[in-house]
Amino acid sequence: MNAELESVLAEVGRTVRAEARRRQLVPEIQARLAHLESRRVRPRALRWSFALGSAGLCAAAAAILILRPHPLSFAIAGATQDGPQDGQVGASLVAPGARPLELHFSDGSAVTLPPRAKAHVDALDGQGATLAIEDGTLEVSVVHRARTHWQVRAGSYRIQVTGTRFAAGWDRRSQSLTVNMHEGSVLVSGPGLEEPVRVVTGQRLQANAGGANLGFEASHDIVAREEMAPLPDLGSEGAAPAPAPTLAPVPIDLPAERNPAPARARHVEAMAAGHAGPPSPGDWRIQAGRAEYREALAAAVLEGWRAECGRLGADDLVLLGDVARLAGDLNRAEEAYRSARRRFPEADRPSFALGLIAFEGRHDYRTAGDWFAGYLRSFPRGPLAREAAGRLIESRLKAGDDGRAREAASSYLRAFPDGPHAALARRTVTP
Amino acid sequence: MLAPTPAPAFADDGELVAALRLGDSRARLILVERYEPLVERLVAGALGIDAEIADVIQDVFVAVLEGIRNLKDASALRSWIATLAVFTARGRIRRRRRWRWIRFVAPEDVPEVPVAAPQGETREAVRATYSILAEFPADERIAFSLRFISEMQLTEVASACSVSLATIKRRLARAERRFVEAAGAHPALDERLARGGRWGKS
Repeated sequence: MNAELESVLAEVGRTVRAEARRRQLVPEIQARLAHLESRRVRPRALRWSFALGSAGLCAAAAAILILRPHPLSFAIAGATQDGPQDGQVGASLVAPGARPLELHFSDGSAVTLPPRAKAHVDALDGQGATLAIEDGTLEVSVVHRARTHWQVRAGSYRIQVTGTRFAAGWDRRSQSLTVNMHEGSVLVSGPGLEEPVRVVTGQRLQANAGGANLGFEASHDIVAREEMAPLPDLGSEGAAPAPAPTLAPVPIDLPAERNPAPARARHVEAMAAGHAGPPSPGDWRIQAGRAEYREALAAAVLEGWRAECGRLGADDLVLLGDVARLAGDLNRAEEAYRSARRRFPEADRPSFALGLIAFEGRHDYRTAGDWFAGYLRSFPRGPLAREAAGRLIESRLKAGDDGRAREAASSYLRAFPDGPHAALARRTVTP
Repeated sequence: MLAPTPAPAFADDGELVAALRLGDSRARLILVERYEPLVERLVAGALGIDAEIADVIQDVFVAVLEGIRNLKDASALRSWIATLAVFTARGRIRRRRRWRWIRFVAPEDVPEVPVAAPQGETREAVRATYSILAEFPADERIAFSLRFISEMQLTEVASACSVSLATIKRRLARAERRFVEAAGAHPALDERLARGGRWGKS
């Protein structure tokens, strides 16, 4: 056996896998699948008949379409009172007055310019568009297709996009770029970045010629998006309205390394807890972003678990709870979530996450139901309201509380008649 | 943020498959969390460093979600996903090959995002390996990459390719001969070949 050549091939394998891992594809795949799922509005049977009916035409047209792809087009909404108008490549786009300007592209992608933001569409082709930000922050939602190729330019920066949602901000005076990723990932290159930087879901990149800072998206941005969610009617279990959440912003810098001596002691604690290693201080969020939850938990323990619970902002504290939960350490997860709930009563996620632990970790369905019902009472408009309402039905059913299960199911159907738990709710209401 | 992956539910594949058939979005998240590394390993091995890997992996999971109702044995989920990954990667390889006759550069050959390449000797080895594999018949390329690059067992390779063990052995034998012959003519690999052994010149 030529062990050397086999080892070369194994090395090739390790290299290509490492490169794939470096791209952190899991959040991107999750986001793409969620996006596809959300766009499946046509009934399956209709889709099939439509697909079969048009298959002949598609086959005949496919070669022409492939060889000569149509450039995208876009319409502008909000520019005038007369309704949408066709957009032109190169034309300056500025939102008039206090209303945002919306660009709707023929591939389903959309871009929103808030008041005072300036941009233009630099180019259009069959795979996507190139946008240029002149000033301000654009909300971009690109629909992923087989060969999607979108780009956003801001000064000397380039943002490569496939399918994703993000906000890209350009401050012309300071020549600085800010990218907040809502879903998926983008690749950013430009001044202050030694090599292209991938920004994934939940991350924020700030860059200028002096350098760059990659951290986590500030919670006020997330809240602002969540407030755009539709308002459900939650029925009796979610009667009391709650004030709109106003989370404090969290720092986006990673924490600095602490005193090494206690850190070493905490390392021992982390290892004794059976967590994988070797962890290093300050990087648990990065490891969490890579779905390496056991390693992330060990690193967080190394940093000082209790101190982290008392120090972190709302989002990071919930993330810390998520890390512990996904690493299987339910006690630490509950500790983090309870701490978040106590310190940030306006944050909705801790209640929901505690329900998840009771439901899936402890199989204590009565307690789980109470958490989900509590979530709905406190956050009837919360981003997880639909999921909580569905979980509430499941919890009541599993706890054998058929009466309250029917009540929860009725509420669910009123609020989310097409939701993922609608079938279960109907079966529960009409056994 | 609440992490995009929920609590460790659906401990066994039977529960996961049942939930996927009901359209449970949590199950979808766990499916990707649990099996993306496997799919990534197979696809990356077959395609190399490639800007379209995310597209291919997405296609695999779309195929999984669309076909889950037809999966008869939930305990076979893992091997079924591996098979889908192999078939999807092979389809991508064949599609690229079909584009070769067209004079202008096919869209598939244009990376949609820049891909950072490894450096030095490893870079040369990666480049040489995939340039050689690009000339292989798709079935042989897949079998070879699964066995020697993704480092799968023979039985796993046969299962993923949906052929018998005897067939995969014959296919691998042809691929090995083809690879050794091509590697011997490639400066980046020839030196290592010369060191002897199963594939060696001695």
